[in-house]
Order: sequence, then structure tokens, then C-alpha cells
Amino acid sequence: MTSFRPGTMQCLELHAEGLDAVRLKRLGICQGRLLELIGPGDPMILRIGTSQIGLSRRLASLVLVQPVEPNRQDAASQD
Amino acid sequence: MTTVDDVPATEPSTGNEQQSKTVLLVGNPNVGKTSLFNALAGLRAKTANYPGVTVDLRVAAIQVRSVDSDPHCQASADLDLVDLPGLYSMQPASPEEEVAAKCLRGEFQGRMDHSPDAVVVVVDATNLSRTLVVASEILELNLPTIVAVNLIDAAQAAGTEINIQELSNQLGCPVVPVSARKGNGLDTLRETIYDTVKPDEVALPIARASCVAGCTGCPFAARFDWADQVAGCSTESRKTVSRDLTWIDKTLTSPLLGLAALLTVMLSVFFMIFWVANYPMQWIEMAFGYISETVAALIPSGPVALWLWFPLATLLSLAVFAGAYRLNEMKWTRWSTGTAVAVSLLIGMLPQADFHSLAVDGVIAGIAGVVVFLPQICILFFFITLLEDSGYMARGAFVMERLMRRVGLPGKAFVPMLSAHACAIPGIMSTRTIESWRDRLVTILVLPLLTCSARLPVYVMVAALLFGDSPGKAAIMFAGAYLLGLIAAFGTAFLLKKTVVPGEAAPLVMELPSYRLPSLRNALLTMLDRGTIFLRQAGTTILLISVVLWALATYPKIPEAQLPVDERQQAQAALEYSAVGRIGQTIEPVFEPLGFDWKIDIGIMTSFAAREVLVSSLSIVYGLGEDAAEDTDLLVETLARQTKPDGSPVFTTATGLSLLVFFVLAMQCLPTQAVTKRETGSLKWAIVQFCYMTGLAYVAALMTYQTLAALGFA
Ligand SMILES: Nc1nc2c(ncn2[C@@H]2O[C@H](COP(=O)(O)OP(=O)(O)OP(=O)(O)O)[C@@H](O)[C@H]2O)c(=O)[nH]1
Ligand SMILES: [Mg+2]
Repeated sequence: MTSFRPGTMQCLELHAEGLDAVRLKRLGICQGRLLELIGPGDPMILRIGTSQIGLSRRLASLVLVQPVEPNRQDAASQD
Repeated sequence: MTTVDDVPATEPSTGNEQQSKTVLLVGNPNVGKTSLFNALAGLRAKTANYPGVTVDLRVAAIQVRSVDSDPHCQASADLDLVDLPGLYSMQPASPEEEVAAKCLRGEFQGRMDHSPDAVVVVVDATNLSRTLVVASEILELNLPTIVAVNLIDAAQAAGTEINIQELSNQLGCPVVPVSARKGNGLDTLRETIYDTVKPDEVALPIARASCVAGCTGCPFAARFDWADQVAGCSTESRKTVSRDLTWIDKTLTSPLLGLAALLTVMLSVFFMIFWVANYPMQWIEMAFGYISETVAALIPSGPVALWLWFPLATLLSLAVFAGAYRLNEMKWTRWSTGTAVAVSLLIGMLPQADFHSLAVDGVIAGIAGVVVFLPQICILFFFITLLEDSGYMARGAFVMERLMRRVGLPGKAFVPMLSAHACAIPGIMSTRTIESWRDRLVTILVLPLLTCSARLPVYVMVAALLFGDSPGKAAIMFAGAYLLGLIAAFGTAFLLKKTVVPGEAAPLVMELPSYRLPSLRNALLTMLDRGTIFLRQAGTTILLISVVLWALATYPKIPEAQLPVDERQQAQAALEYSAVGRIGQTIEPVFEPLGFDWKIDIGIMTSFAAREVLVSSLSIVYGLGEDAAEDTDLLVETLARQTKPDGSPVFTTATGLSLLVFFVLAMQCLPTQAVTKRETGSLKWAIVQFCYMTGLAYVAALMTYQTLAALGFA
């Protein structure tokens, strides 16, 4: 998910293992969940539900996501 | 007299079938468990708006009762309330989450080796869905459970209504809205706890359905979906014109502006310390000046009959001992009583003039030298607590992670590094939140380089000496000293990564808590606590070191024949003749390249175990080297007046800054080393820490002095 621009996306898969996987999942970064990238960079800021999570790029690269466009804006630009 | 011996006290509850019941406070980090614990038990455990503040189990005995029954025959139950470290899930990712999870399962060795009698799951009303996730896991344990919806005040302010009845139906357990800060709902919570653990009621096994039963996908996702659904059903959000704080957050977390903001915040705190503390410091100085004069006047100068003087002096000294023991909560054992009596008898036998000097130059000067810094320490803790409570610190950690990772420190090391700015000991303790052993070790090793509050007296003294007339420059010097500590810590971490402890730090994933209005009460209480600790230290350790130092600096006395004729040089000659003078002059060559004279060396040696002792030692050593007429002078004035044998001042810019650099970097704290040994499990790391810090301090101070001297500041 490191190549995305701010916006909402859905988490498809986690490639993390062991401790990293647990650390991600328990904060809500797991399969099927909606994440909103609000502060790109390294580390980046995500909004999940009502909470904000700071996430290092190295962990973010283990998360496979798919953009979700609620308003059908810039649809194909992120694939 | 009752027996005071070494037999360990027996556990009061052993062999008693009426063992008190255990109630656990659990929930996500930063939902206010400790705040609730404090509110219920009337305690003051540390809280902060930062995930993972509590790292240890904390137990308090409380009494709960039903509210409605007749007050005279009210049934009540005694409970052990346990505050647990926060946990995001029963699948632990850190040692302290594991402690919390084990306590819940009743598997924790020692205190919590049985299932809890009740569990209070604390959730955050402003962040209901996320904090309910762990509640679903805990509910599945089928323990008697109560859900406390905390921060209800904050939720209401944000326009969120929570339907407690609906939530209770969905969860299948009692739900109580509370505000730990405002104190709302505490009575209802107590009553609910009472109903849950009622002594005469046999607890039926509770069978709750699992929200992930029969689910094949990711169990975490299922729980999050369940929590979303429950939270959705039971909350109603009125659209309010809430203040939009996102732009602030954007600034504070951006790479460059965020760093600049961090620096600005630090700089202004130090400026405040210097500026606001000025007035109370003057008052304290005046008070001690007055005390010193009064005491000096009270001690009769003419001869007093020995039979009157001896018991008086002995009793006075015993009284001081009693006060110090009391402050330190020390028991009157055979040893401590013996010491007190022996020393008091010795003091009673002192000649009157020496007793006068002991009282004024030793005890009062030593204590005054340190107590003057009380306002600064209070202000520091006040502002740090406010910052911690606001939620800013997590942004600080976020901004710093970029830098920290490069030197091999994890983002999470920011928490300990933050506490270490108050005191290295809680800092080292809180490294327990760091999962990987490598990351933890590196953090422990570099933590004591950060500026703890015990360094403040030294910094303030140097600032007053060099920049007494300009608070702006003093603030810059302060910020510089803090920065130097930080840079040294990062540099050392980098070197450690390249040498002794190779490897990479675990990447960051951390919750950024929402901003909250800090609690003034909390800040004031923390300030009070830390001020008390500081005063206790002054009344015990520093008093002891002061008296010993006074004795060493007074005896042996110079023979009359060797006293110089010039009266102004007599005190100086006597000091040089004393034990301290001889020791100091022997080691003088070691520190000479750093620009220190032998009196400063004495200060460095005596402050080996606690760095703030430097200030009291300098007060004593320089004070004794002067005429009695100048007794009541302030330390800084005394120091500024000191000259070398050739007539040039001792405290030049070069010497002052060299001393500052030395104290920024040197270990000079015995308790910290003890904690390092305990937390790393070996003496080896404590020794490594001591050696590298002292070496670093020496070399850096040497470079500072020689450079400045070459530039003409000496
Ligand atoms: N407005 C408001 N703030 C609260 C309330 N309860 C706690 N807080 C604040 O929430 C923050 C976190 O409180 P803590 O008690 O440290 O939380 P904790 O759950 O013990 O956190 P950890 O020990 O880190 O797991 C602090 O800044 C408190 O001042 C409340 O009822 N209302
Ligand atoms: Mg806590």
C-alpha cells in the first residue's frame, strides 16, 4: 500500500508473519477492513474507524490493498 | 517496646477462608483504566494520554457496597482491584500484554494464579468500536464481566450519545457509563461490582456466544466487524460543529514542521522553567538566608557550661536524625538507632565553634543548595504532565521514529525516552513495552544520557553563573544541554547498532490517541508527588552527604602555627589542609585539562551516586573556604567570586560549559545502575553503561574546554 495516495482502501491481504502480523491485526489492519490513508509519508497515518494509527512504511509494504472510491473519483489511477 | 525484628510479616490473608475477591480492570491501552483505578481506590498511579503507560500490575484494596440498603447494616465486600497493562487483544504482542492476558486466564504466577472474581472491561466512549474488540474476546472467557464506558464526558462533548441499554443487550452484560476524570458513574460502577461479586451468591457459569464461532476467515476481522455493528447500534452521533483539529495534526506530524514544533515546544518549556521559577526561587533563598541567620544567632557565641551544652547539642542532633528517618520511612532497628545515637554523641562533643560551622556551613548550606531548585523541578513535571495528557507525545514519537529508526532505536523507545527526561529509572522500567530484546537493550543503555530532572540543579547553577542576566541565553543553553543529551543518545545507539548489539529496530505501528484537554488536577498532583520525592531526597541522602563532606572538609584542622597571617587566606588554607583538600589536590591533575579546580573535583566525586549533590557539595566546599561573614550568601554569588591562585575567576565560560557538558553525559547515578542491572539481568550491562558514559563525558568536556580556551573564553 506504499504507492497509494490519500483515500479509502480495503485491505486484501497481509504478507506479514509472526509478531508483525499480530501487531498489525490487533490494531485493525487485517483482511477485509477499510483503511483510510490520511497522512502519506514514512511513517504514514491511517484512519481506521474512529482511531488513528501511525504506520511505518516497512510494515505498510506488507499490506496489500485495493482502493475504494465512494464517489467514483480518479478511478483507475491507482492500479 | 514491641518487637522489631527481621521475621518477614505473614500475609494477613493466609489461612483465612474469607480471602478478598479479585476484580481486574482491563481494556485497550489509553482508555483510562488507571484513571478509573485511581478514582475508585483514591490513588495516584501514573496516567498519560499515550498507549502503554502502565507496565506493572498494581493492586489496591477497595470496599464496595450496595447503595440502596440501610446505611447501618449495609452489606459490603472487600476487593482487590487490579490495574492491568492495556491490551489490544488476547493474543499478546508484548510481555506486558502477556501479563494482562495471563491474569485474565488466571495463569499468572504469584498474585493472580486464580481466575478473577470479576472483570471490568473499560472501553472508550469516543472510540467505541475499536475498544470493544478486546471486550468481545474477554466476554468469551465467560467470566463475570462488567463493561465500563469511560470518557463519557468527552463523548458527550463531541456530540455522541451512547444507548447504554442497547449496548448492554448486545453484549449480554451490565454496562455502566463513567467518567474517571469527572467522577461520574463511579457509585453505580461500585454497586454493579458489588452485585457481581456478592459474597452470598454462587456464581453461575456464564455461557456467552462467540462472535467468531463458525467463522473461517480472519478472526480479527470478524471481531472488528462485530464491534462495528455493536457500536453502530448503540451510538448516535449528533452532528455538532466540532472544532477541526486535523490541520494542527497535519502540521505536528509533518516531517519538517513537526520536528520544528517539537523543538519549539521543548524550548518554550525550558524558557518557562527559567523565567517562572525565578520568583519562588528568590523566596526560598530568602527563607534559607533567614533560617541561617536565626540559627547562627541562636547558637551562643560565649562559653556555655559543658553539662548544659552537651545534652542540648546531642538532643538536637537526635531530633534531626529522627526527622530524616521519618522522611525516609526508615525503621528504628538496632543499627539505625545505634548510628543515630553514636553520631549524636559525637556531635554533642564538638567544640561550639565547630558545631556552629556544622549547622550553618554543612547542614543548612547543603540542603539550601538543593532545595532552591524545587520550583524548577515542579514546573518541569507540571508541563511534561500537561503535554503527556494532551496526546501530543504520541505525535512526537511519530515524528521521531524517522530519526530513531536510522540509529537502530524503535519508535516505541520514545516513551521511555520521554519519561527519562524526568528520571531515568521510570524510563528504564517502561522499556518493558518494547517487544524485541535487542531494541530494549539499546534503549536501556542510552536512556541515562537524556536529561533527567536531577541534572536540572546543575544546569540551573551553570546558567545562573554564565547567563544570570539574560533568560533568553539561559533558555538556549538549556535547550542545548537537552539537545546534547539527545544527540549523544542517538549517536551511542548508532554505534551500538554497528558494534555490540547489531540488528534493525522493529518498525512502527502505533495508535495516535486523539487530543484531549489536559487535566490540571493531574498535573498539579504529579507536581506535588515529584516535589515531595525531591524534598525527601534533600532531607536524607543530601543531608547525609553534606554532613560527611563537612566533616572531611573541616578535619584535620590546620595547626595554629601554619595558619597564614593574612586573615582572608586563613579559611582557604584550613580547607586545603583538611582531608577533602588533600584528596582534591591529589586528583586535581585528572580533571585539570577539563578546566576544573580541585573543589569542583570534590563535587564530582561526591555526586557519584546522585548528581544533584554537586550543587550542595560546591556550596559546602566553597562556603568553607570563605570567611564566616559571608555565610549567608547565595551559592551563585559565592561561585562567581571564586578566583584561582593567579587571581583570574574560576568559573569562566569555558569551565562552566565544560562542567555542563560533563554532567550532561556522565552516569553519576547509582540507583539507575541498579535498575539497569535488574532489567538487563546482568551486571555486565550496568558496567558497560557506566564506563562508556564516564568516558564520553570526560572526552566531551575536555574538547569543550580546550576549544573554548583556545578561542579565548577561559
Ligand atoms: N476527558 C476524560 N479524560 C479521561 C478520562 N479518563 C481518563 N482520561 C484521560 O485519558 C488518558 C489515559 O488515561 P490512563 O488512565 O493513563 O489510561 P490507561 O488505560 O491506564 O492506559 P495504559 O496504562 O497506557 O494502558 C489520560 O490522559 C487521562 O487523563 C475521562 O473520564 N474523561
Ligand atoms: Mg494505565
